[in-house]
Amino acid sequence: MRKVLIANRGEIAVRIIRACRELDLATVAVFAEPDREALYPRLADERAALGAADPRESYLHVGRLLDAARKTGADAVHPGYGFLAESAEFAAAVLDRGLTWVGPPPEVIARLGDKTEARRLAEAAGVPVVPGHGEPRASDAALVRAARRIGFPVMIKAAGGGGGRGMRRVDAAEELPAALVSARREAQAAFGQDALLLERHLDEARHIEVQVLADAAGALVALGERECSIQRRHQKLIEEAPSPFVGADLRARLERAATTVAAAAGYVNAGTVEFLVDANGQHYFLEVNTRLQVEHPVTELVTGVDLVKAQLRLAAGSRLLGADGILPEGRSYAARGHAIECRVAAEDPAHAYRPSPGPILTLGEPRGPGVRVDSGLRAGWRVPVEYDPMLAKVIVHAETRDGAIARMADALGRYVILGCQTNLEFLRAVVRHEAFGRGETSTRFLERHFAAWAGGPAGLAVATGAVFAVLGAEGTAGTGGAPAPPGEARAGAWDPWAQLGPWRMGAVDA
Amino acid sequence: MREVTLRIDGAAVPCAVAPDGDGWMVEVGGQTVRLRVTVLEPGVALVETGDRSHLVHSATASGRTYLHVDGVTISYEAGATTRAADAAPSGEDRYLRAPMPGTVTQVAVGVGDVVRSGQALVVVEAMKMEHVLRAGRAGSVRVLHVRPGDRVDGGAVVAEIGPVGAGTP
Repeated sequence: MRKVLIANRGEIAVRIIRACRELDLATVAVFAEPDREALYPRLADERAALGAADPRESYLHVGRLLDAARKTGADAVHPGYGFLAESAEFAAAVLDRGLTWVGPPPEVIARLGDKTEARRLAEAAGVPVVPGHGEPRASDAALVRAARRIGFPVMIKAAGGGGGRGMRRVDAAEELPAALVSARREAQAAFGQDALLLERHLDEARHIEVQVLADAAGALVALGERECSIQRRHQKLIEEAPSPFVGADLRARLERAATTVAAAAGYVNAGTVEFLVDANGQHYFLEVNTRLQVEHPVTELVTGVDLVKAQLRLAAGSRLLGADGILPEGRSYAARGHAIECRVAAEDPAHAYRPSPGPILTLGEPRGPGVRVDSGLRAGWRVPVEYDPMLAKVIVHAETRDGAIARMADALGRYVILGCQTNLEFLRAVVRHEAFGRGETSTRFLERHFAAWAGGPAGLAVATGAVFAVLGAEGTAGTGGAPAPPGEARAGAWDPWAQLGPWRMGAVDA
Repeated sequence: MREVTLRIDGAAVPCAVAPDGDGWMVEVGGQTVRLRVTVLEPGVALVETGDRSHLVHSATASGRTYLHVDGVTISYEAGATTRAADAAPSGEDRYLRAPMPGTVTQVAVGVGDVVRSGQALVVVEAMKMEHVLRAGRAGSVRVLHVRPGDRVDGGAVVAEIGPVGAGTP
């Protein structure tokens, strides 16, 4: 393995490029048109254009990705997360070309990618699953009967994939038929199959997952849990390790359940086994993500294991344990301190998290002790409308959970992104909320505490803007609305700073 | 006292701004904020409130200003500022006025120069602060009433701008 093609974009492409550098592997970035000027193609050793913005013409186009690998001489493919990361067909196509796939074998991806199949596998291995109905290709009639048996509310899920698509919470029997129809339609569109499963809806549940690493020789190690309960639209927003809810006993049970499922699936490389944990501490298997997780950094910070490097080394044939192994400390990885991750997205939390793409006029990313920013941003680039709104992740590490919260709040407050609206202020409000501080994180947290959030007090920002406006003075604002290219933004006619050039009010040494 | 309206998220936010010692007093939404502003470099300033300091970052594109301070980002379009007592009459934008009493430190144009809207024409210093006066419209400089070193009253007309060609010597 010498040259790795990264079949992804954004912050995760940056993350993988850096891991490759540390391992002295050459890198190939691939990009669709809107990402031509993004950060990650500049960091790679080589770059290859994929084509149009539509993901089906670019990041999801197996033929073009393989062509890029052939043209650049890449001998390995890292899929990142999302896009084709959990496509058994893509993994198989990569292997067919004689390239190394940085992930589990295609048959493992296929087995675990079907949620019905994964549920049966966990059940057969003695791992508890959420009460429900998981027969393959269940009919509407069978699902309605199952719902009556297990009781409402229930969750409908697409068997073919996640990300909240095809997922419905149904509170009453009369709502079920219509929900099944729309969930099937959504699942068909998203995953190419309309198979559904149905589970009891667990109120006040926590979403807790276990990171596992496995080598081809059968060694399997769990690296503790991550709690990912703070979600919007069934998508994670804030994750932490360890979970404030998980003690040594529950951790041991979760790790045992995770390694049991992974072993039963013949797992190799890095993976994540997801559970719901109810208020009584009972855990239920949810699914296995056969790839790198967005939230992998919190595990990296508390264990000291570089998961992306581990993925690459496992793919190259390294062993987990032993003198030359990836895990020098062997199987015992007690978490050191506490880590929290916040996902920074171009979205408007005050308006149903609607996406808000735009130009990056000014970028200032926080740094400091225990502060890590995994970012795909560059000043002068424009966040495209075509892809996921996630821009970057702020990850902090401190001795205690309280220390991590204070560090996160400060880091978020120092993250400057101008020109493109983000959820930074919202994230800061969430981590500062007293219920978050008490560790009362559940999948209903945002719904309960932030449903009506409309932004915090902006008095100082408005007052400062008003002073700038007065300094601008006498109706000189604007150039008639002609859009300024991002690079020239500061040369715009009404830039208070340009006008403030000669201003000196209360000099610093005064 | 000057009034300015910031358009934030489609809402008009009226603010009253007045000099206050070596800083400013801003009334907005029934609150009074006192702050001092020190420009550190283009796009970065230090804002002091009481015993706290805040770094402010700002950028402007397409007439919209983005401002970040203390974890809060707002974006706004600034409405034309008016003196509280006398709203600008129609055609007022041809007059370049000193916003407060002070001393002219720079005159960047001459009579007959063609200027664009927003172009810096005159700098007035008042209360240890320099204020750049910008053209309120495109045109040519018809009259200049001041030279560097002149003292001006608040509201005094320092220059007049007319259509290009008209009044050019």
